[in-house]
Amino acid sequence: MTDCPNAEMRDRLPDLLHERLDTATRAVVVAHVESCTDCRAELAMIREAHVALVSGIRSVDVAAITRVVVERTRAPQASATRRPMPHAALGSLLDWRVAASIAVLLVGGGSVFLMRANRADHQSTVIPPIVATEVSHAGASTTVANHVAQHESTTAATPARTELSAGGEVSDLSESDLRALLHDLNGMDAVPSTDPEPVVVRVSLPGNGGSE
Amino acid sequence: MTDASRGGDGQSDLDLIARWQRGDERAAAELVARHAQALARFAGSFGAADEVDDLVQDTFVRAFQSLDGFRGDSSFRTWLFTIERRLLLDRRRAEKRRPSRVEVQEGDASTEYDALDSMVAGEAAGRVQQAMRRLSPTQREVFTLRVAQGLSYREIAELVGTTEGAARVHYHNAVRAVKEFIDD
Repeated sequence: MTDCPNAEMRDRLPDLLHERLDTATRAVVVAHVESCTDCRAELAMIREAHVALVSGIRSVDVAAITRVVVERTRAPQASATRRPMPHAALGSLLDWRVAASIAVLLVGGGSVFLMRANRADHQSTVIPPIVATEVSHAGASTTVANHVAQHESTTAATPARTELSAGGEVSDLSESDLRALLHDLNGMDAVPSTDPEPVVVRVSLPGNGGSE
Repeated sequence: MTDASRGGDGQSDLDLIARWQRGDERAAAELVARHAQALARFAGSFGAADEVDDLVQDTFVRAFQSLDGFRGDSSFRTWLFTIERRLLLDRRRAEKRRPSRVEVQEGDASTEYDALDSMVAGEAAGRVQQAMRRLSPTQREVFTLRVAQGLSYREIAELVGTTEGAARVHYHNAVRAVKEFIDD
C-alpha cells in the first residue's frame, strides 16, 4: 500500500468518511478517489479502523442522561421558575414583613418623638426653679430680673410641656445659660447667708419687768 | 466542511445553550441527544467501553455546570471531547494510584483484548486494531480522533494541546505505520 502524492486529497479522506465535506468539495474528492488506487485503499483502511474503533460501543441512554444532567445542573432561571413560592405562603410572608416594618417604625418614631419632647421640656423648664430662687431674694439685679422675665415668657408659651418636666437641675443648663447665670450671681449685691440668724429670746418675768 | 454543531432543526449549539440558560430543558435534551453518541464513541475508542455511560453523563454534567466558561471559540462538541478526555485521564491516573486487587499480566490483557476485537470488529478491523496498538500514544490519539470522530486538525490540536501542523504530521505518520503493519 503506497501513499498518494496528492496530500490534500489524502487529508480529506476522513472528512469524506464522516460526511463533513460540502457538496462541491465532496464531488472533487469522490472523483479523485474513483481514479486513485492508493486513496481507495487508504479510504478502505480508515473505514475499517473506524469500524474497529466504534464497534461494540452500545448506544447510550440519552433520556436517562438528560434527566440526570437536568437534575444536577438546572439553569438558574429554570430553577427559579420551576420552584416558585406558593402564592399563599408568599402573601403571608409579605404580610408579616409589612406588619413588622410598621411596628418597628411606630416604636422607633414614638421613642424619638418622646425623647425630643422630653429634651425640649428640660430646656424650657430647667431655669424656673433656680430663677425662682433668685427672684425670691430681694435686691436681685436688673439683669437677673430680665433673665427671669425671658424664661417666664418661654415657660408661658409652652404650658403643656412643663407638665411633663420632672424638674430642672443645674446640670441641665446649657453652657451659655450657665455663664449668664454665673455672671448674674457675681453681680448680685446680696447673697443669702447660710448661717443661722441670731435668735433673741425674751423672757418676761412678773415682778422684774422682764429680762433678756 | 459541514457544521456538526447544527442540528436538523437548523438551531446551532449556541442557540440551544442560550435557550437552556433561559430555563428551557428541551434545549438541554437536544444538546445531549446531539452529542451523546459521539461522546460514547470517543470514550469507547479509548478503551473505556465499560464506563461509557458514566463518562458521557459526567461529561455533560461538568459541561453544563460550566457553560458560562464556554465562549464558543471551538465547537461545542470539541469542548465536550476536551472535558471527557480530561475525565478519562483523571480516571486512568486514579486507577494507577489505586492498588489492584487482581494482578493482571500484560499478556493476558492483550490476549483478551485481541479476542474481543476479533469478535466485534472482524478480522480486518482486528488487524487495524493490532496496528494501532503499535503507535505512539500521541499518534494513536490523533489517529483515533481523526478517524473515529472525524475531527479536523484544528479541533484535534485544541483537544490534544498541540499545533494544527503537528496534528497533521502525527496523523500521516500513524496512517503510514498502520499501512506498513497491514502489508507485512
